[in-house]
Amino acid sequence: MNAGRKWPPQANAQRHIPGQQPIRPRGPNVLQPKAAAPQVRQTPTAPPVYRPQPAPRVLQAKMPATHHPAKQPQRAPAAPPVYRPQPAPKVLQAKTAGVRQQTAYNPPRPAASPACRTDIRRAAQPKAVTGVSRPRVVGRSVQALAPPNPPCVQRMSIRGTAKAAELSSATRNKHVVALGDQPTTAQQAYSSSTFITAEADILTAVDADAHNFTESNGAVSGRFDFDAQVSIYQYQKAEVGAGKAATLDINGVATTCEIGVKKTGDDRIQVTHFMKK
Amino acid sequence: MTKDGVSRPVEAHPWRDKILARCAAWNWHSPTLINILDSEERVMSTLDSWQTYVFHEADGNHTTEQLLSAARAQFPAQEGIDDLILNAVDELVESLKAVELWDHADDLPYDIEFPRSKMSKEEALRLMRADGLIP
Repeated sequence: MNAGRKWPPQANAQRHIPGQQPIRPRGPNVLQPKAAAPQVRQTPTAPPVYRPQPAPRVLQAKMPATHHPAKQPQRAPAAPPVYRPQPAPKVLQAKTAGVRQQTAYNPPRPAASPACRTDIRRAAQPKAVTGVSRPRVVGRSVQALAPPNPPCVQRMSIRGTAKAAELSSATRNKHVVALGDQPTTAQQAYSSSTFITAEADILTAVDADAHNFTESNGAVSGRFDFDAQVSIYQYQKAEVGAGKAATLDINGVATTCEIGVKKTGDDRIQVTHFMKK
Repeated sequence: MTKDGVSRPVEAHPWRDKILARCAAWNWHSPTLINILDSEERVMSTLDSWQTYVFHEADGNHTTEQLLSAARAQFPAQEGIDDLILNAVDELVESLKAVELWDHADDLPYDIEFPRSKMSKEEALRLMRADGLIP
């Protein structure tokens, strides 16, 4: 019995492809009641779902939201919060809280920066002079004088600590010679020689200057040259050549010299150039 | 003096305002002469006395005109000093390519600053790294 009833339907079921819906058994029963109400088929939920309006609305709303962020990254990357003009002004204002300082600093600047060549330094030096007691003041004043749109740079004094300069290996090698060794070293040289007896002779002059010139992060800066009085020993040669006589021309006298410094990008100031002016 | 044998004033020299910077490894050939070395530190040429003078003074900090002024002061009795110096400059820059012309003063790399007898290339690079001048 059961087998007789079941076989036909099974046969039909076997004919159907897996993806097809079985229409026989329940279909008719279910469809009939539904078909009884033909309106139900038309109204089903399908139409509203397929309406084009809702989908586009969602897309449009999302699109603008996604586009904006794509544009914003272009602005943000180059200028992190640190470079935004707003923070600087805020600092400036707070510092200028002693507005008197800025106005008062301007006049003394020129006189205070005799050795400096660039405007940036001179502007910074005066500040350094006013803030002689604390290097931080120097850094602040430098910010105040910094260009409106500073590149990706750093200024040592902005970091809040005064960086002591150091001699490069080449400068030390060429110029720092003990007093007793100088005659021999000068004679062995090919041409004239300029010596100092201690690194401090140069470094003192460098540290007394405000090194507020720019450098690229992680890269060596260009060389900044300035003049300073340094006690030197200079040997002159009338005839070039190693072994030729060298005569002491300047014997420990404060002399105008040109000093070149570089910022190495890792918070160091290297004296890479020194010569009698 | 030009190739035509005509003397020329430094004021007319196209490189008078250019910084002279040596760009070749070197070593002493004698107390007064310099050897120019190639990349494998073989002797490429031995400079004459005036070329040696110019090469040695081409430290990246002086212009052609400044070098000439210094030479005039150091060798006051030397006749034709201007031509001797300028010819040496021309040869070092154009023929030997041992000196470069810069627009701005700067430091020489340590391996060019010092003769090989005083500092090897490896030592020069080590010191430059220690000084933070190269990565």
